[in-house]
Amino acid sequence: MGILDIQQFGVKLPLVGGSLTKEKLREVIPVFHQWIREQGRDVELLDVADYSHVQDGPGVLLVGHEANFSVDGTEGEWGVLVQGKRDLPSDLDRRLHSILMNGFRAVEDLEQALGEVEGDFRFSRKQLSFRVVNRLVTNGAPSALAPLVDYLNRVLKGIFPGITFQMTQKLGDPRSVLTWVVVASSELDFRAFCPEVEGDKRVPLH
Amino acid sequence: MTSKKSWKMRLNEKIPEDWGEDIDVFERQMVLRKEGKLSEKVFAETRLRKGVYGQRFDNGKRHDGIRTQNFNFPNQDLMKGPNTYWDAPGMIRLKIPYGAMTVEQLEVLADLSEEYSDGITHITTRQDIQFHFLHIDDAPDLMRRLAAVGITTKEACGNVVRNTTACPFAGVCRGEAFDVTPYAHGLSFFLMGHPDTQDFGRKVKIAFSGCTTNPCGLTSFHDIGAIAKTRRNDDGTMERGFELYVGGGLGSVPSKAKLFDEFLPEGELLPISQAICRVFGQLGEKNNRTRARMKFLVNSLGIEEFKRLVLVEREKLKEDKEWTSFLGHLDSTQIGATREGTELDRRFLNPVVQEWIDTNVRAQRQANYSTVNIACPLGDLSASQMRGLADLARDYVGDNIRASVEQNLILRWVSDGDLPDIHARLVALKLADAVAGTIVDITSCPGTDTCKLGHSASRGLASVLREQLAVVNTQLDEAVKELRIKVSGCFNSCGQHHVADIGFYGVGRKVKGYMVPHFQVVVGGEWKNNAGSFGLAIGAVPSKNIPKTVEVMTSHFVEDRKPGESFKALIGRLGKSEVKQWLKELQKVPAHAEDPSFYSDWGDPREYTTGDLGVGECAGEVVSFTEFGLSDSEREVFDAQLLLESGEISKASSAALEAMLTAARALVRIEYPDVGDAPVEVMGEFRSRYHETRKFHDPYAGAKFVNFLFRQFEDEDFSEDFETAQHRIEEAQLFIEAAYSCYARLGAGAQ
Repeated sequence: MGILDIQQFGVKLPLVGGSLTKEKLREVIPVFHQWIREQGRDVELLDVADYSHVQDGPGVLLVGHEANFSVDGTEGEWGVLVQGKRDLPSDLDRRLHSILMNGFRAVEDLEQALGEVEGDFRFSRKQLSFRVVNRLVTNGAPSALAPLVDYLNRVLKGIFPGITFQMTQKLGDPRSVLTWVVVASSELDFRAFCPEVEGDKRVPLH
Repeated sequence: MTSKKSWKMRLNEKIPEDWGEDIDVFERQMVLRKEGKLSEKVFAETRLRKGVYGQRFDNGKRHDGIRTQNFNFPNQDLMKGPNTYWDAPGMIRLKIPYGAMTVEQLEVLADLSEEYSDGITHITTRQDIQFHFLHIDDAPDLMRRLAAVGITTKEACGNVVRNTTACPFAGVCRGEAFDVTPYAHGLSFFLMGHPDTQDFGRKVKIAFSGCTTNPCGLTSFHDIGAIAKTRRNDDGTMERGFELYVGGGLGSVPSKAKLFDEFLPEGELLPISQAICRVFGQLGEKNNRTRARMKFLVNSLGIEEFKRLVLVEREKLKEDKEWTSFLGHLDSTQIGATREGTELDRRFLNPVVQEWIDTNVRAQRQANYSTVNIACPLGDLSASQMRGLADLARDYVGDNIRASVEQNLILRWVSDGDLPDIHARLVALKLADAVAGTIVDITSCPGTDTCKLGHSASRGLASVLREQLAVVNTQLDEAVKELRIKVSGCFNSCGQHHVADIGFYGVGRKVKGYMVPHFQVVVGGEWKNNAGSFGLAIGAVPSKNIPKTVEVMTSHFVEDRKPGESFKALIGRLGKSEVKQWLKELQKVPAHAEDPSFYSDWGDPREYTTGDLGVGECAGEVVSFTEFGLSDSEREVFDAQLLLESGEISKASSAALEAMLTAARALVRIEYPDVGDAPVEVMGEFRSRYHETRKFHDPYAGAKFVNFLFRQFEDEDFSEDFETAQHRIEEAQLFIEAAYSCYARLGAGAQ
């Protein structure tokens, strides 16, 4: 398996304005249950796991077959994380589109569902983290990811014409998940990329 | 640079050969299951014995609060057990004997939790580690990465000897007779994979304790419980041994272990344990899994008869060097201090650190050293916390890390002078709560979060109670602080509710047409004295009223107790009927329209239902050693095919014969369980027991298939051409089919 074949990459869209209390975080739980009920994404959604009692942990997790969704607080940074797992499209372009679209749509849907607590659930439109959780392929070497990060840059430029993206490797504990921080030159319009946000249309992957 | 190597290739040299072979075999069994060449039932028990467990909703169904959904997994026709989808997320349990872990292991666990699980490393109530939401296809690589750092999943589940637990303070405790660690280690690895532990109707759990009084070992509710003892012999020498108990267990009907021997000399620990396993394997219930634990056998035979049978069996055992070889190097499990022990300078301690030391730190018997008990909420740790703990351990204690049955981590050999620095590091990791071993430090099984048997959300409740009690912790009466709360999601007692001061287990109740999550309230249990007594349920309370129930019970304890009276003693003095009155108002359920929150569980907004209950895998699949042997022979003949494909013709022919011998031995073991694996012995026994008696002969083909075995066995020349080798493999396949038919003809009662 090469770097361009992997499925275990994800995007995390950071929370604007700091941290979430346990109580606020738990408001996500019924929203995720509703998503399972609707099965309206291109991921088979299976279960919800509440890790709000774990500091700097996965927060509230929506377990899917192809990818997990979470309001995640790992390493003290809160955000919406969509993490690819398996059985995503074999074509890298489609795979990246799927993860990005699910991330953008999750942000839109969570903000909409939790609108009553506006201010607590606002996620960035200018920045995202791109993370790869496959140590067999990365072998702890950031340079291993370069072709994938380049590819991501091209995909993002294709989705958002006219916007440039600055990609920087996140430094920190070398044992942690390899992560790139992506900063856009201006705010991204997620809705333009995932028009089915307001609908309930599932795009099958299989 | 991208690595295209597999984990198997990358870690090959770090994995013990036999462990690596075990994992390879499991991987091939997965292939056979995918190809339909291994039955769901046999594969289920096979994976359980590798620690690969099922999880809630793995039957492909989930109640979403309104209706039952069917999941659309990619492999709709592939199952990993009866009614268990291949693609459904599962759990994997590791085997961590006596909870001991190294720095390197913590780091690997952190990596694995991120890559294959949900980012959480979970400590169980038996000093084990579990990962949840895993895909079975990831299991072999995960096992290899564990094996490379000395962790196995072998026999972590299934009807085998499970993880051996022991007091986490062994070796440093002030009250112990001696360090039980090397004995727990020796017994654990002696029985792992032992032929006498492969044919149980249910699991066997073993625990060690260094003393009688403290609850760290919990020997009273284990199948085999060993408490360290010494005695002075006539010649003045001090002899080590164990007060040995058998037949204890929790589950729905707890049973206190019976005294087997007041003093079992240390050299007899392994052979007597082996003999106990043999008696349990031979006489234990196999068909009715609800009565198949050792406690039922001990109770039905009576302890004296059970003991007599064990001693008879002990006499029959062939001498085994392993019984005593570990006694020659009892210090091999000792990991000493990595830093010089210095005194704690208490002059400038701030109150927060002092409170933490008072609660979480315990002086070792070695001067200027202590243990630090790190309270892990619900036993869960994130990957960054695990790495932080690894760094902390590396800097201060090295590999002196143990998990506890209270789902915490314990650092040993901490120099007292380092305590303030360690506290500061734990604060940074958000693991410095001064609650270890108090009423706030609640243990819980997974319950409805992930367990197929869970009735109610034990973790949801434990989380809420922890938060509620943490707020008032500093104002709590000292006696209340010392109480233990334990929560199970069902009556099976994985949360050990029977031995808590206040225990809860999940049940469902129908109220005016709606299901309402409840917990039975269990009182009268005793945590001390190695879990000295078991509590009884006094009434079910709606889940949402349990926090109030704890308030009421602790208030009564403060108000009604006599000086020095324990909670158990108070319950005994007042009587359960009076205590039940405390719950009367709390047992009422408001109408659905009045308060719908009562109709969903903690942390789960779905309307409550018990419709998600599945068939548990705790009991495993009862698969006889014959079925396992026949299954192994199928795998071996499959391996022969692979060898043939890769051009290794001679090896392929040899493997075909091996496969037939494995099948023949499986049948011989029905009548002669102790048959060895030497080919000549297997052939001799098979000939006299199955050929000469014609038991193996096919009703239509007669001795045709048995002759395949005899002919190949006599022909030792394997340097043949491709076609002959293929012919041998075909014959082996037919022989194995005939062995299955023979087994079926013998009937289920044959064993």
